[in-house]
Amino acid sequence: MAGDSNEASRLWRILRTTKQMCYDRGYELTEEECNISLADFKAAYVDESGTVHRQRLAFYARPTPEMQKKYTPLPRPGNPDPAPDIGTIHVDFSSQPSVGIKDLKAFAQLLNEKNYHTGIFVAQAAPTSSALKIIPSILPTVMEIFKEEDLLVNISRHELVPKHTLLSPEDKKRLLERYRLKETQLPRIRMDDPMARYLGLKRGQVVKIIRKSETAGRYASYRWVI
Amino acid sequence: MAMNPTAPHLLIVEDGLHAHIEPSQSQGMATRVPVKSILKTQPKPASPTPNPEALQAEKDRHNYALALQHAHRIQDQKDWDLRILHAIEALLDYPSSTPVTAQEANNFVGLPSDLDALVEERVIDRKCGYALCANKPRCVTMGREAEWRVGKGEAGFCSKLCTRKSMGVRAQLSVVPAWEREAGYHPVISLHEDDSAVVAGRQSVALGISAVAKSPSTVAAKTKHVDDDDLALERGEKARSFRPRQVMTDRIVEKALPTYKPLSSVSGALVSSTAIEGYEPREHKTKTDGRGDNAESDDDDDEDDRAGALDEDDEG
Repeated sequence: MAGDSNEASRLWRILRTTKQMCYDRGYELTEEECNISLADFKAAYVDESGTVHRQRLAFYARPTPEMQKKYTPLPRPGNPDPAPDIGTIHVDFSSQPSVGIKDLKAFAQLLNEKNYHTGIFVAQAAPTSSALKIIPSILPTVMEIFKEEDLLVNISRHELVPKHTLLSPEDKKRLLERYRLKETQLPRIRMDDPMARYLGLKRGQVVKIIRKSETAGRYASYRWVI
Repeated sequence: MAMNPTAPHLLIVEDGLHAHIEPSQSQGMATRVPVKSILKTQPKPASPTPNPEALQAEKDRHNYALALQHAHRIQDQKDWDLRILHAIEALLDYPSSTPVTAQEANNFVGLPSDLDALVEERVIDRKCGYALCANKPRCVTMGREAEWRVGKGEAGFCSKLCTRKSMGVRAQLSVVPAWEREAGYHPVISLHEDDSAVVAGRQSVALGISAVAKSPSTVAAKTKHVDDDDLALERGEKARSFRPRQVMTDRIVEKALPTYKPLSSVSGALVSSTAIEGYEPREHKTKTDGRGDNAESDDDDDEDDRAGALDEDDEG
């Protein structure tokens, strides 16, 4: 019994973090959904025997217009009205302890069928290396893998982590013009950085980081994703 | 005055220090070839610097070609990785799914680490780690104590035999990555005797027995017929061999040694007083006179030769 409630509270925290992550990225999620309480979670997902079925935790979300603006590339002569490079996201929780090629393939097929653009796969243990090789082969569909233990705590809510905001392509262009910079001259952040993974950043994007400063109150810095 | 062979109408006049080429008087006034000085000509003035844009374009083209070359190489590696991934996927379902065609699962071109990945995937899928076996692995049949009781490596297989077979295949795989091997060369993997019949019967080759492309150098080496002529050639016995008479012959001819006659038997011999049994030892000079030393040592050699010649004449 105690073990089950432990399991339930773990999954509650993981679900909360995942929803907050989607909300921070810009998807349409309500506040109550993101800050669901333990009692509500238990009521909704824990069945009579006390176990939580991870398949029931899966959810999907659509992007807000602001988010779509951030993901629309700049209009070019050959492409005057570009489509946003973002779509519905589907979050799935794996019920198997170890993840192999077959599970990820099944997930990829699901994303393909329902025409989702991005998929987040929350696994209990790290998938096998050969399974990870599938990810680049299903582009432009984006698949992200997270481990459950990484999502127990929302790192962006930590006091030492400043606020990261993604810049739209126009803002990025304006920034580079204002400081007369080339992309490579900006400070960099890696794609596998925990905050970069939290926001689902891709190469070439620029994040604005606002941190507290003793002298000026706030200080804005920029990082180019590489 | 020597006649210049290349240009008979010009004469080479040697002046002690220089040699001029002058038009020959015998030709008359018919052809007046201008005098060409033999001194080195002045260096030509530097050509105007090429257009910097052209230079830059040249550099860009060169860099582009280089970058393209590297990109192709990386793409090639990625293609190989994908192929190995497909092979692992195909072998993952084996043998329960429909027999894999020889085309798909022809050769397992992966590294030993790729075989480990395949075993891992099969275990996750609750199958024995060995690709051709359909039993359950011991971690399923024994439960959670499998690792403790049989060891980590063996827990993924159904029996010790399967473990051995898998190890055998793993040992035969090449350690060199697929993209670095010679074009079209894959190692032939011979399966355990239990399975080779099964596989041959099915006509589906999972781990690469038939239709294996051998590298051209291996094929050439294995099919080359070594005949006796070639071996004889190597030994140097045939007339075709390289300089037979000088290197080796069948006939052994004794070397005619110079016969030594003691001094007493020769009367009035012009024998050098410093000679030891006919050998004239060379005088060692000090190192102070560099040039003088060379000149003198040359003279010594001449002396030796002449002295040696005299000796031989006397003795012969």
